[in-house]
Amino acid sequence: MRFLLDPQIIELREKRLSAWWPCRWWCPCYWWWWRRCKCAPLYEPIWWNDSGQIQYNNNCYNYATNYRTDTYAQPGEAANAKWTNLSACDVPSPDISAKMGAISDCLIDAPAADNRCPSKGHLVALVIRPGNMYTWDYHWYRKGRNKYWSHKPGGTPVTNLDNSGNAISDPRTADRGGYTEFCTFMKVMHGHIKIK
Amino acid sequence: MNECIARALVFSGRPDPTWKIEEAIVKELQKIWDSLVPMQREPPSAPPLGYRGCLIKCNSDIEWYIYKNLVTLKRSGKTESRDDSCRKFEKLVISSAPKGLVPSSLIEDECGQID
Repeated sequence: MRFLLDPQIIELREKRLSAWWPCRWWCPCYWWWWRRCKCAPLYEPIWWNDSGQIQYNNNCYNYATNYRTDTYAQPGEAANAKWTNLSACDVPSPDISAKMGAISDCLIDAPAADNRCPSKGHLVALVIRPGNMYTWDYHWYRKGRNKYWSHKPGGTPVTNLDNSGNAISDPRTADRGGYTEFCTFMKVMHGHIKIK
Repeated sequence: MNECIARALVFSGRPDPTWKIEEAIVKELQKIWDSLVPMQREPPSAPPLGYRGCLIKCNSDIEWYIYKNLVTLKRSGKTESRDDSCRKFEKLVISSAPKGLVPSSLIEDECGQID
């Protein structure tokens, strides 16, 4: 039964459904259900996984915001407020966390999103691997149109699986390896953000 | 001159540590590669997050990817994987990094002691 939850199967099922159930648009429940992630980006791993320029020079932040810069974008860099401390989700001033950096880049903090797609823009999630300045790191996931999450770990390929090999329905419960702290959900309004 | 740059794939958001590999080390790596046998068992697959191996890119159109006992060489569009059961290749690459550049605790977390 687990294969029925595979994102590709879900996408295929939606396509087949739309072929022989055109009157679904009259069903308010279906309309509401379909609308929820209509602004989310498509899962297009082939476009990012080119084993070259795109893959190696764009990280999780680029992928989550769906914004290719080829600069390995860092939260806050575009606003001259790049992160300085990744030991926790929130750090005391004057240090800047990844979350604060992202807010400076015009991502919108949405801690109450509770894994629901926004009506405009798309949903991303920030997690961190706490530690010291040599080991700490941050990571981003993005919610796709099929309601499943995908991510791009650094310069490695885009994937829709977690560290246990499972599809990601909620990044809060996914196997994230050492990235143990879930920080927040955030909203990316297309065309409003600037990253570098 | 054959210049090679190594990159340890350990971070997701932050840039990964990268360093230049000396020519003598490259020659040593080439010797290890020549001694390895073709990969005949299921190669290890790296988890999405955490230590995901090392990448070496040389300006002579040679690219190596190393993860545990898997060593893959890409040359002129051809790819070949070999089995390094003692992980000599990986150990040499990581030990060639300047001290403190590659957080060894992250690698040990994923693969056990590397030295």
